[in-house]
Amino acid sequence: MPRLTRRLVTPDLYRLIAATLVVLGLALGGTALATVHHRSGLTRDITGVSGPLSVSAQELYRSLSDADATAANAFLANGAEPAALRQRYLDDLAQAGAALTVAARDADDADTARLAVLTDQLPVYSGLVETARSYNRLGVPLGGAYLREASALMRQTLLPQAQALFESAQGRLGGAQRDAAGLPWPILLLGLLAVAALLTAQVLLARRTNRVFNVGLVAASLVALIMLAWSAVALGAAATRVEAGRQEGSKVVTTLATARRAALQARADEALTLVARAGSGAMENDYDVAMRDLAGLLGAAAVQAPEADRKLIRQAREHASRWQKLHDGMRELDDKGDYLAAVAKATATGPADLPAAFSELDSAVSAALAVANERVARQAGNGGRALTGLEIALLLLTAGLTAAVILGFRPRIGEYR
Amino acid sequence: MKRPVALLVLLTLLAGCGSEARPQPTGGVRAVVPLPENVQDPAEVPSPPPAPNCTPRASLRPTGTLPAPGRMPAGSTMAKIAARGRLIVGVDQNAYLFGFRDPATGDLVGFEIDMARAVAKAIFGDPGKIQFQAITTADRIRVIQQGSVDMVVRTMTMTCERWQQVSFSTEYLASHQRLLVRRGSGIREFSDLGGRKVCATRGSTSIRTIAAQPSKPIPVATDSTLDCLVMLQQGQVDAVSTIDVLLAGLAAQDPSTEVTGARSSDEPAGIGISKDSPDLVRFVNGVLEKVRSDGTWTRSYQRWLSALGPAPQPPAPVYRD
Repeated sequence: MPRLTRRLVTPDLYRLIAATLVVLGLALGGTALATVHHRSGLTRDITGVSGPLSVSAQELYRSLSDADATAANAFLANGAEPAALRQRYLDDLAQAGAALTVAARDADDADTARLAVLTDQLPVYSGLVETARSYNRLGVPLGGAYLREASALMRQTLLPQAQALFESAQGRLGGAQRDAAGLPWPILLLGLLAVAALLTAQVLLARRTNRVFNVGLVAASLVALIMLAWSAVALGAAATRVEAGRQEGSKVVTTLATARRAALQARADEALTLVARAGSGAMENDYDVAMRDLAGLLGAAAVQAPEADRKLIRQAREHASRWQKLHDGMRELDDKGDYLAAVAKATATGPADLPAAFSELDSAVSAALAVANERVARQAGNGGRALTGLEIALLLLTAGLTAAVILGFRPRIGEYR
Repeated sequence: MKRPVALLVLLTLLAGCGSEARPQPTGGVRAVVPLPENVQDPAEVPSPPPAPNCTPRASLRPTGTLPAPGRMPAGSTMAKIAARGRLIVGVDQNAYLFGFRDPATGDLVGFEIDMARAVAKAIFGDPGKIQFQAITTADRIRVIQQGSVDMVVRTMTMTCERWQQVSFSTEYLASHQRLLVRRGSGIREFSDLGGRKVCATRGSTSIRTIAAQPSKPIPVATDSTLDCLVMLQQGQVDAVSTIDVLLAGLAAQDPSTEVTGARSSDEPAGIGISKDSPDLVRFVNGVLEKVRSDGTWTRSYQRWLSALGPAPQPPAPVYRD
């Protein structure tokens, strides 16, 4: 560098320095602008696309699984199925349809393939359930055979696709969150480099011109510092918010959604054990496994979730243990040979009965899930707002920085004309 | 003038083809017909293990007169059942007219349920002291051997091979393997079913009979005979082949099907009991003697199986002592 500065005549040296500073300023401005643009796009994606995708996938799984368990319970009820169960089943189907529409809006290729299976097979499933219903009303066992076929289609084909859809949505959401929460290294490096270059240029100018301050370069340095600080603070704030949404939101969502899946699975196993008159066999073992998973997952969710959510999760755990007790009582009746009394327990409609305990568990987990989902969206929204105005400001600041450098050097270069 | 117009039309058509072929070939989408759970297509047909010749119908003779209900001989299997407070019976809950769920009450009813209740009544004096466990065809021998049920009443064919593994009561229902087909399908006999799919339950004697037909039909196995009717309705099999009495139960649920074909085998149904409980076998045979002679058998037959025609004489017991 000293050799180069000695060889160049002063005005050319000034021009070179000015050009370098302008290039650095433009690079800083451009990089910052691109990063901010990308990240506010990511936060918009979280609030507008991948977040809602995850929520719709959760809803899809819940409604499908609940439809399966509800259809099985309606079959257990004597005579024509109770209107409330019929309504619940129909609501489940309607909700599944609505969730499918949301999921289809922003599906990628893999998701489209999964959605194709779901949209193909859901009408087939409901057709089987209706066939089962007609034969049940005729009082012939063929209805039960169609119900088993429907349930197998649900558990072996539809639910795995819905689960894969949820996992893919969570993966997409997690990817957006990680990208939006990383440290903006290029801006920090370029910003520090620009500030250092500006300071060096001023030292150099001061030596050559005996003027301590060059107003243009001082202004340019200030502008560079502002760009660096504002970008770093705003991007840092946005990253912190999004990361909070991931830690206290998305992770809890994954745990709670898995917990709800276990609860629904256990409920279906419980009903299907009775439908199949299978006694305490393989399906009852599946119930036990699902309930153990549920307890573990609710425990994990209570640890992951912020203090404010723990009340709901605690309630869910209480409902789960109440359900388990009622279930044990019901199984005891069945195992003692009183199948009809067990069925009566499993289908009772009072507020302290088994179905109500499951229902309250489902509501509590769903409420906790809604809070966690809302947190993901809110934190991403906050993160996005932290970046508000930064893009325009960066454009103006970059222009200002460039202008200040040029204005700072023009009189000095002019002195050599 | 005509030629350019034709060319233009052709070009437009070609352009149309090109743009339409790309996004969604919805025209080629085909529905997938669902299957019942655990279908084997084609079915594995186990070759029967060597069994000594025997008289499959011959069971153990009852000893003297039946003990009065509530007074089972001390130390007997029946006394243990009485001490437990209920008789545990493996049944089919999907066999219309034999063992099926009455949707109005949720309870099991049917001809075989009547037979099982008669045994409970003889032990307890109360036909309600009974616990039914629904089992698949393939599970029948296992649950008897494991002792998870006291007996199995589930159209179980008495064969010399099965006598090696379990004991049977005397015959309570005579039957023969035949075919159930869709009306108007033109299928009358096994000879019409060469290379076509015929359904029966896994682990049944029927599946072997299907596989042994000279016309070489393709056996398809399910957990329950009822699943075979589902597959027949869904067009996935061309016929169901099992004992005529079960087929009559299927035909009664779907008037667009009919029972057809020659009687292709002799299938005496007996109550399956553990080999370790000969006292229970003799006791059940005593109960069956009573059921045959006091009109219970005929009343139950008339109530459930009138679709098969007027009630015949109950099958005569055969004993081996």
